[in-house]
Amino acid sequence: MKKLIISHMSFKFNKQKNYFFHNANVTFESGKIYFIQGKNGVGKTTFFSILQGTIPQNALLSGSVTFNNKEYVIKNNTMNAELSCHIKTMLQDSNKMVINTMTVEENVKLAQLPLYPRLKPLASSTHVPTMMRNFNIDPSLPVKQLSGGQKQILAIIMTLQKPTQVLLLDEPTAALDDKNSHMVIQFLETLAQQLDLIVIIITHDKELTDTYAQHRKIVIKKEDEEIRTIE
Amino acid sequence: MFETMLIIAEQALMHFPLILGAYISVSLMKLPDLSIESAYVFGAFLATKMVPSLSALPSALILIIVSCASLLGGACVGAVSGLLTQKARIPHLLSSIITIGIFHGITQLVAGVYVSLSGYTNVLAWDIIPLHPELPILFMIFVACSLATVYFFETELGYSLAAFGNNPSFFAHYGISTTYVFMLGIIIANACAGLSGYLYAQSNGFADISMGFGKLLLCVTALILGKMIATKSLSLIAPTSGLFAYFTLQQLLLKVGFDLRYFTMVQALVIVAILIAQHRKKEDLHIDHLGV
Repeated sequence: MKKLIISHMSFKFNKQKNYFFHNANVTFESGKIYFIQGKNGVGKTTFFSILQGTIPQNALLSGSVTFNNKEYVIKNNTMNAELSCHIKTMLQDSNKMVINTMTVEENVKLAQLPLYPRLKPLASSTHVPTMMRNFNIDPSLPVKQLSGGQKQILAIIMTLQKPTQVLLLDEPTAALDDKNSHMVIQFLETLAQQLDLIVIIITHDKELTDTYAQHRKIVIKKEDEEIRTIE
Repeated sequence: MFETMLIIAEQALMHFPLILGAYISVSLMKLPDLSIESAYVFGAFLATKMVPSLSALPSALILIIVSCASLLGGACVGAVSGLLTQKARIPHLLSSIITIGIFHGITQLVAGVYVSLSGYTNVLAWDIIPLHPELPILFMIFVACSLATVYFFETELGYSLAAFGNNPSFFAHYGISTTYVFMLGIIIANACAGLSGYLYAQSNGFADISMGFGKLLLCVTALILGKMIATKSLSLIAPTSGLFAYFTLQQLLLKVGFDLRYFTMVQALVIVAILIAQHRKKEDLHIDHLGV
């Protein structure tokens, strides 16, 4: 089992008096999905940015992150690049992560391309996860014919085509109806277990978290004008 | 009738690399690539300027060298407009306009406003078709370009260019270099335009600083006509059929006594008529913000 341990993490903008997080300690384990909830502006997305290594300028960040038993101490406001490359963030709008005019299979192949695409033929066949069929996603279908939830699932699969151990999703169900929201979360649950992934989801949907958060629900909330992370 | 068909074929084949370039940058990558007109002129000037110094060489070798020079000339124009967009963060329409300005000056500085090829062997000529000696070699270039393009569209890079047009922010998310894809796409497109410029200059016997005027309108008209004929993406059929349709229309108008000085007006009207008709029919031809 892999663990992502956040230790004594504090974050604030230079000009601000109060911390977004102060001395926060959280542990995430692989094979499970985690939900992060909190009011707008409490620092949910900032927390993702920190993990991804895109820390805003003019900020003060300290603490350490332990991943696979290796501790990365945050120095000079910079997250270790070796750690950040294991972590992938999904965009809120799945339309920005897919090519609507191409088929599902072509999209998966494109997501596998190297940093510099070559003058060699695109892979003739590719492994499209069988679990996609459980969600009625036919690899030969054009992406524009998929539902919002199916597109979200496709975008997740495409993201996982490059080595990933931690998947961050910022409100993945915000634009989806109930049926599609449940479909995406069920997919993420299966994925976390099958691929031994750490999945962390920011969501405002209380009904969704009540249904799926069997293990732990992490709430970021404002208390005494200070932001704290509570397990 | 047969003679008219040969003229249409000759004109279309001469402009084939240009339409390929426009297809890549305008249709696939969805870029307002005005610099293609500059690439057409600069490619033509660079190649024609080299012809006198190569006159002692065999024709086939001259053709290969000057074709490479014209491709290089066009590629330089593409590289400048691409760098302005990617590195100076200037919107591509503006970088294209700036590039036109830059290369209008550079071309005149390097080669003047007019380069004549009279007195030198026409390396495109091969006298097996009377009155149209350039047709066989133009056809060979057409076949070579088509085969290369069909292969290119099946490669990782070819698919990437089509993906760029649909979603330019796609690559950053999957760890693929957007700058690399953009630069290569625009360089290849402009290099093609440069080659076309040389073919036109060689065929007419001169290169002129104003020869690029209206070439993008030609491309857009041909691409829209092609879109009506063939809708499949990543296909050569649309730009090729559009190009032949364009020159057929031009020859038909000439046959009925139309003055070709006003042909740009006809092109513009054709585009407007097609777009309005599609809008009225509410047909989905995937016509986007660039109309192609």
